[in-house]
Amino acid sequence: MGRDGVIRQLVVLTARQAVGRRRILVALLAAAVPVFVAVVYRLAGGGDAGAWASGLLGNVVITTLLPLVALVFGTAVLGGEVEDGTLVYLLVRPVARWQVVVAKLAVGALATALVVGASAALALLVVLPSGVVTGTILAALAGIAWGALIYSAIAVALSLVTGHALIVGLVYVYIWEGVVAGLFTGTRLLSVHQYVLGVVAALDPTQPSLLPAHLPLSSSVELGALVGVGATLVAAWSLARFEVSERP
Amino acid sequence: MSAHPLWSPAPVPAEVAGAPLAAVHVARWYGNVVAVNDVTFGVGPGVTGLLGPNGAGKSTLLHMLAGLLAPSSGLVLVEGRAAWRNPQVYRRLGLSPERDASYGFLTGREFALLSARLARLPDPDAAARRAIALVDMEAAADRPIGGYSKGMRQRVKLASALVHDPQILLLDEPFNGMDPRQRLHMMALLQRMAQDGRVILFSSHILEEVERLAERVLVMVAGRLAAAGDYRAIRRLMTDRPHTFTLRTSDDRAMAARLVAEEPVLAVQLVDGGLDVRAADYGSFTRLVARVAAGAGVSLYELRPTDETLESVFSYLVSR
Repeated sequence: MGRDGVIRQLVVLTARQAVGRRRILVALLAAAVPVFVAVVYRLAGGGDAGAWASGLLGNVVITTLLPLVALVFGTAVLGGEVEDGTLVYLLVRPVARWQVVVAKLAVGALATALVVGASAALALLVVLPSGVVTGTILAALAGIAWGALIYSAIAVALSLVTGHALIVGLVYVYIWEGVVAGLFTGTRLLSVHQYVLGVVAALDPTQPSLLPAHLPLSSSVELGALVGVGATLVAAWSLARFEVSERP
Repeated sequence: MSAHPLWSPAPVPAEVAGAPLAAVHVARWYGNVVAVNDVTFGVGPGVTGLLGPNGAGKSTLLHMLAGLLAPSSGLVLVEGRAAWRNPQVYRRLGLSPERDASYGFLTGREFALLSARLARLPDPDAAARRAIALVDMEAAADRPIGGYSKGMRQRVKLASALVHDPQILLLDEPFNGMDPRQRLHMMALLQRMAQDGRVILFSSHILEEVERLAERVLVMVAGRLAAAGDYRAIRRLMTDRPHTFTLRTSDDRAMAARLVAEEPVLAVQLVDGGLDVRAADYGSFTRLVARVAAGAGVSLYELRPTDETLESVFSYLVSR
């Protein structure tokens, strides 16, 4: 079996694992919030649709939901196997450890993109008047997919280097990206949140874009790729040296 | 990598370094705790038992042999190649870990098939079928592992370890949770595999399991290799050692006076409510004690060996 075959096996295994986990329920519930808010807005008669769409997409989906879901899934795809003790069955095979990381990352990122993307698309469809919707939604989906990939890579790496991956991830997202990046503009260069905004703003056909961005598309892509690849390398490095023992 | 590492800290016997599975001055510590302490041995074809009380370092050693744990010092060699950070050894080596972990949502067959595919076998379906049949799990193979009994989970773990027909098989407490019939079946299977020239090392804290299955034995106590070699020779050491017994009789003083004159008795002590007797070996003392009591006209109420735990047997081996 070739390299692709092994990765495919691992992807299928991880996807089936994810379906059975309680975490997916938490993520789905969180993803329902923006849609729920959008429906309430429409039923209440609405106000400035642009401002509402911008608030929902920027403050709720991209700032809160995307990193939360990515951390929940990303720390579970590999971290769950570490906790359950099943990782050993993958490690005692002639499979390069980076292949395990790539498969796990693919599932984490895809699940995040699907859940958050669906939530964002539904919420925007409900709030925005028709006609201007499609291009904006596609821009939002592209940004979400980009963010899902980078956040998931960070989450997978964290799940191998610390036993408190979810907490460390949340601290990064809500302290670094939420507070520090607001106070010191230089730190925006190291903020996945800003890479996502950069992609959405650049691809949005409606200008000025729904969301203000501080980074141009090129920086968002280059810096995002750097962080994502770096985190993946850290994960592969850690898994290659991962020790399994029966010690509690 | 050479089977004879040039930088080895001390001379290593050729039979150790040349063995299919070898530990050369291997130690592992966690912080200040030493789990395995400078262990050197080689394991050849056949069944070898790794015997020791809980916490002796058996699992740590097996994980190092399986390449899943880095030795803090020393070298683990699988067919002459370092095991740590070398996934290629898993083409020839299979491991069944002790921890009762499983993919509960997979069926037994799916788990064997996944293992076969990850092992990159040319015909994974046939390999999975063969492994399921070997562990006698055909009847339950299409049910989810989540609903299995512990014994069934052990067997499906073994199927996964066997799926690529490994030359070297490491089993950590493989009979835990199996009923007597399953245990006999597994033992017969492992014996057949050993006869085909495979290297099988299994850990156990139960003397009887090792006795039934292993020709050779490694005894671990407190991280050290206390004894290694032919099972029968080590068993003799274990039974021929001094034993202590507690006796209760109708006349402890008279019994004590008679016993001190007997040859296998090393020491007698009157204690509250009885006698503590230290004898040179188990068999001759137990044969003697009834005869002595009858001769003295003393009734024997109780005869109890006081140090028959496996731990005391092991500590004796270590102290020798």
